[in-house]
Amino acid sequence: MNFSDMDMLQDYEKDTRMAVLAYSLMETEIMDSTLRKLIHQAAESAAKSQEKAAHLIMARGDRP
Amino acid sequence: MLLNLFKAINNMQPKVRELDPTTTQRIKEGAYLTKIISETEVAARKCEFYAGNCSDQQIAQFFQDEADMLYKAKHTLQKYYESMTEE
Repeated sequence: MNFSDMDMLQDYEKDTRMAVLAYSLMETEIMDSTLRKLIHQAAESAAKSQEKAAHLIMARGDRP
Repeated sequence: MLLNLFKAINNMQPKVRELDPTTTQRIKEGAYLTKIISETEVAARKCEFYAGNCSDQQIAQFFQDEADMLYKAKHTLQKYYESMTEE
């Protein structure tokens, strides 16, 4: 199966978007402060990745 | 009298330690962590696969950077999981 670059970008953008939601929800259910911090960082970096992917998509004339 | 006998028999049985709320919470957090670790590894592999399949150099570089970052994150989480389970 062949994916175009845009398919892959759109798919990854969607994945990171879901990851931000999941990590943020998980963070609220965790009591261990170190783990909470780690999950918070994960949510932040997922949001950054989503932003980068969205910019790449828009730079190629599509919409995320 | 019969009740006392049953009580005595029950007292002789080995007692199962009840899980207190803190332990339950700890187990739940461990389960979340293992789930996150495996999901991160899957995402990293996916990014590597995508990086190899891209025709655009910029997008390939983006996916490769993401894969490296995800492997690093997985390593950090795994180390924390090991420190959690070792006590």
